[in-house]
Amino acid sequence: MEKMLRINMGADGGPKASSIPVGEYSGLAGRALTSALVSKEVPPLCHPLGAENKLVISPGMLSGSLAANSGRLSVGCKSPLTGGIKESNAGGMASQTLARLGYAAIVIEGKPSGDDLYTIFINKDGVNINVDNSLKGLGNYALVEKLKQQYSEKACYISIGPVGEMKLASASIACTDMECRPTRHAGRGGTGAVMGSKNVKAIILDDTGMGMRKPKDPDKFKEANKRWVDGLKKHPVTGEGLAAYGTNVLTNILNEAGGYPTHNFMWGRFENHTKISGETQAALETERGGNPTHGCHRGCVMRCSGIYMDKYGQYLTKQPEYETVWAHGGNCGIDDLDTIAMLDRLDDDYGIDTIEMGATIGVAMEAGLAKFGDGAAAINFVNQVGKGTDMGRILGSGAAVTGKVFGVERVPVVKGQSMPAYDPRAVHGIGVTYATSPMGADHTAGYAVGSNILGIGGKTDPLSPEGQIELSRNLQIATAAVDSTGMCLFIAFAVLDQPETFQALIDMINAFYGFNLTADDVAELGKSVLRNERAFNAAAGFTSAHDRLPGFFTRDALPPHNVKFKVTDAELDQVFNF
Amino acid sequence: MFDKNKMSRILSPILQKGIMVKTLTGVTVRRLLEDELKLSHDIIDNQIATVFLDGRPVDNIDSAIVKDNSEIALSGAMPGFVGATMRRGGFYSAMRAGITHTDENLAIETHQGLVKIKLYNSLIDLIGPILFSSGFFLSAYEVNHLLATEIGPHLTTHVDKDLDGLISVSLRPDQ
Ligand code: SF4
Repeated sequence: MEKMLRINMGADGGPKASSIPVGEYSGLAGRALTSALVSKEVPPLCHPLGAENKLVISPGMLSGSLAANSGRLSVGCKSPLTGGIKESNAGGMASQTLARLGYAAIVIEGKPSGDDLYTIFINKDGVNINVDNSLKGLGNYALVEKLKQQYSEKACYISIGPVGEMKLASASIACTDMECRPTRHAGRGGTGAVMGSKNVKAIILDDTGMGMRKPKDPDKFKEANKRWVDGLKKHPVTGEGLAAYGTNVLTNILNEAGGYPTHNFMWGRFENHTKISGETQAALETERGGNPTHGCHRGCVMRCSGIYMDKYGQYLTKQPEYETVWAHGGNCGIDDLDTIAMLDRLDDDYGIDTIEMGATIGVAMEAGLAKFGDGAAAINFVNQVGKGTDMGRILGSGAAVTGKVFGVERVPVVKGQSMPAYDPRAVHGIGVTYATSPMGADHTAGYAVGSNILGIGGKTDPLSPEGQIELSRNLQIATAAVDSTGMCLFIAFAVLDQPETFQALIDMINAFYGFNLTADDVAELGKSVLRNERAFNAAAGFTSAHDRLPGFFTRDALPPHNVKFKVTDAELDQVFNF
Repeated sequence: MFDKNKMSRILSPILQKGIMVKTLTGVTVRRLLEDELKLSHDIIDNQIATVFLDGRPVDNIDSAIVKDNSEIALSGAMPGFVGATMRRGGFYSAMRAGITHTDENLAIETHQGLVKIKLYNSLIDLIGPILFSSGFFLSAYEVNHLLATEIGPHLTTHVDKDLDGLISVSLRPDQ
């Protein structure tokens, strides 16, 4: 991955692609690369939908190799949703395919003057950029079906639906999975709108004729990968738990803890949680001939995903994740898995972030536009977004805009981005991360490797507010590093509990690149990613006032435990003092 | 003989919502799991990763006391950062300190009582059959529902006069 593909969509005479050496970005990949490039090359005050913004798509360090679970793709830009820097990542086949084609990144820059819609085809022989206005308005499913006829079933597709074409701030970028379905999305932050602003409908990656990426030291790499896979398989979460029930297994737990945001963050428990739990979902999938244990890309050993069939036994969508089931389920008072699965399918087809959409519908319900629990109304809302009606364009702009338009105070966003499925009043630690992450409210930002293992662990009592700040800081550093490796974040559980598995990961990177990285170096990589992102946001006008949760979290007690968010502003401001 | 997989599928929603067991209360969570529910040390120490007592995550099952009408929820290992914070005594438990179960240090007498047990994820298959063999209590509505399923013919039911509205359900001894 020593080259980078720069595509200037606004070049004189039409879009131009040039393959150039990675140069100053050498050694970086995934989030480390997207954030370094965006913070260096994108003017922080530019309009996110303007020619100056860049869309950077980068596979992880180990993507395209035999390393298990190394297939996360990072997508970076200035976010139209938050106005700050964004890295959003996705599973599916794109990361592996792009890495095997030898590209450390695709950088889409500039903006065409007309309204022609483009496809970008990349294979071992080079790049073809074509106008194809027949694709206008197509949903991701129909789009991929059409492109498959034209290109190949075996190619991988990165695309936007109509919501990306409309440049709405909740638009996602879809990546196809192992079955060539557009089910894996870089959902957060409106990356799909940026792709839409460049008039790019789809990127087709065909790695025919390209082999696996080869490590510098194949024997050491093979041995480390074996330890890595053994570590993932022996851990109860990565080995069994995720495969059996998927991430939606969290519904019952968060509900029990009283931290399951219900009816737009009004309560911490949802009465009908067992109807939409991972346990119930997995049983239903099995009963209908679907599959609750499935990988989103080849080489995943944890297989947290699945296939959801409708009541007639026909494919409807991939297994909705916990955050999606929550966003469209308990958050909107909806307790029917078929309705939630249909909403997931529509989100994927129109190209919308499921978390942002679910949170927005919750706000719309609070505004009185529909009753909580009204599944048909929720489906109608998403269809309106997909069709681009006036109401749909408001809803498609996210929860913050919807709250403003309809006069709702309780809007669960930080930096304009909706909060995921964990109420910060019940779990203060995640509230610290929601508040301070450069990405806006993001559950994955402080998710990864245990700070104790990285050797950057807390020195203060973890029960004290300083201890929570320190933990959140270290988790954010560790996550930024993992996001750069291309590893699926769910590896975190095995790495968190098993130091030898974390060592196997470092050994794999070292054997692959001929590096001598230590745990300290990995921590330093994470810190440098966060420094780049913070610097960009500061230059874009963000201050400590943006590192706050909405006031209702500190003011309104959350039933049943009647807890409030108690971490002070002064404490939040300590998170990034490294 | 009934099919164990079918039994799990049918019982899963009931076990997620919670079943009632008649048991000694005023004892620690560990004692209830070990002596009353007859769970093995392996299950208690290695398979039950997360314990909630009355909706609050428990760190120390040797000091948390179960009272009459308490609710206990048991879960295997959980994914997600928040899943990790819920583990008993885990490194990240401090991140949910605001809702953690705290021991009250009250002198509570032991006596027979009713406790609601909820089982989640991997523990449904692991602990469900153990509870089912020894029997538990459900509402009349739930029992009727269960009797109408494929496992209905394999069940015995019994109305406990002391427990208003609750019916004891267990597997027939010959199963
Ligand atoms: S664990 Fe889940 S998200 Fe991660 S790579 Fe596997 S299927 Fe994809």
